[in-house]
Amino acid sequence: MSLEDSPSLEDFSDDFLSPPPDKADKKKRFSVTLVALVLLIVILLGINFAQSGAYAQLAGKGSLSGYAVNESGDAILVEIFVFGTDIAGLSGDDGYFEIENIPAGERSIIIAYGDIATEKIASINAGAKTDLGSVTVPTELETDY
Amino acid sequence: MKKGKELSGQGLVEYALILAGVALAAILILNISGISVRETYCKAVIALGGKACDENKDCSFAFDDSSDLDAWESNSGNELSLEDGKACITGDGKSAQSYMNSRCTDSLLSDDYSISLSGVTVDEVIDNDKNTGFDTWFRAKDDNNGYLFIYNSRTDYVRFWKVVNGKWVRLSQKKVPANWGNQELNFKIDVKGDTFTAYQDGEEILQASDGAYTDGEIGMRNKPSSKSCIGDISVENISE
Repeated sequence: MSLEDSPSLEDFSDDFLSPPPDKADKKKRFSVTLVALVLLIVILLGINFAQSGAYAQLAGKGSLSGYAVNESGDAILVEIFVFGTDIAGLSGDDGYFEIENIPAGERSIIIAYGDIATEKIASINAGAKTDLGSVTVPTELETDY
Repeated sequence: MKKGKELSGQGLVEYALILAGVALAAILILNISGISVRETYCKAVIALGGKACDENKDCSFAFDDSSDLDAWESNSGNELSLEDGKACITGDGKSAQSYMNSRCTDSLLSDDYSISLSGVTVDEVIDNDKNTGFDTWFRAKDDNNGYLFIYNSRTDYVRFWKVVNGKWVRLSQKKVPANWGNQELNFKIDVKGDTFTAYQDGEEILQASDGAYTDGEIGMRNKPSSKSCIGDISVENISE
């Protein structure tokens, strides 16, 4: 194309260049997106934290007590484990047990006589003692060791 | 000119921030909902015709080659023996022996699976007051923590147990025919969510529910006074 045939600058005066984007509008949209994303991440992190062991620690600790008896109602010496933790304890000869510093929440409590155990679900509240009452622990169950 | 360059750089950072945020949010959502990223990725790969994940999905042992024994680790240091195409465990009359398989669990796409055991035989080899029978571990952390499906050939019972720190909590039980001890048994254990179902020769025999352990290894266990032999073991994910 010769120079003479080339379009003049006037030919492009209306729509050669689209109008520049509104910088303020673009910035606003980005800010809204970013704030929404940060809010979503904060909420998700919150849920994640609430499900973690660290939250249980911060939520506080409570204690648990009860009496272990056999099928005849006689007091027995048992071992107690809080499932999912390293917390464990022993009852006295009178069957009474008390376990402290259990993270608050629904806890599975394993109460064992020898190698056979029973499970109780206890609701542990921060700063409070949950009483399981009398717990019958099987002592004559057929074993499968 | 200088101003134009600054605008271009800033735009990239903005896009990178949003992309990173979306990625973080996606990971958190998957984490919270308990969905396995690997499982999701593999399902997508398989849907697109890929085989990489598919090849790892199967976990089976025919026990016709000594290499099939390598994946099984004993708690007692004893090794499994191969006899006529079966893996055999011989009891010592004192304590049970467990053989855990971590490789199998690692290759599965999820913690919902079906364990099939065929050609299981149990023979009493020591005459004492100890139990005889064959057990299967699933979702086990070790041989003191996990679930057990047991077949006790001395008492003719099948049971599901939850084992915590070596303490056994009984979940369910059922009396089975006495002649089971004289035949080859074909067990299948479906582990799906918090429900466990056991079958013998395709017939449902026992079910239990518990949500304490959500993942872990599979394993086999021979009771103290028996010799247990297993023809094949295969573990496959249960499709939804």
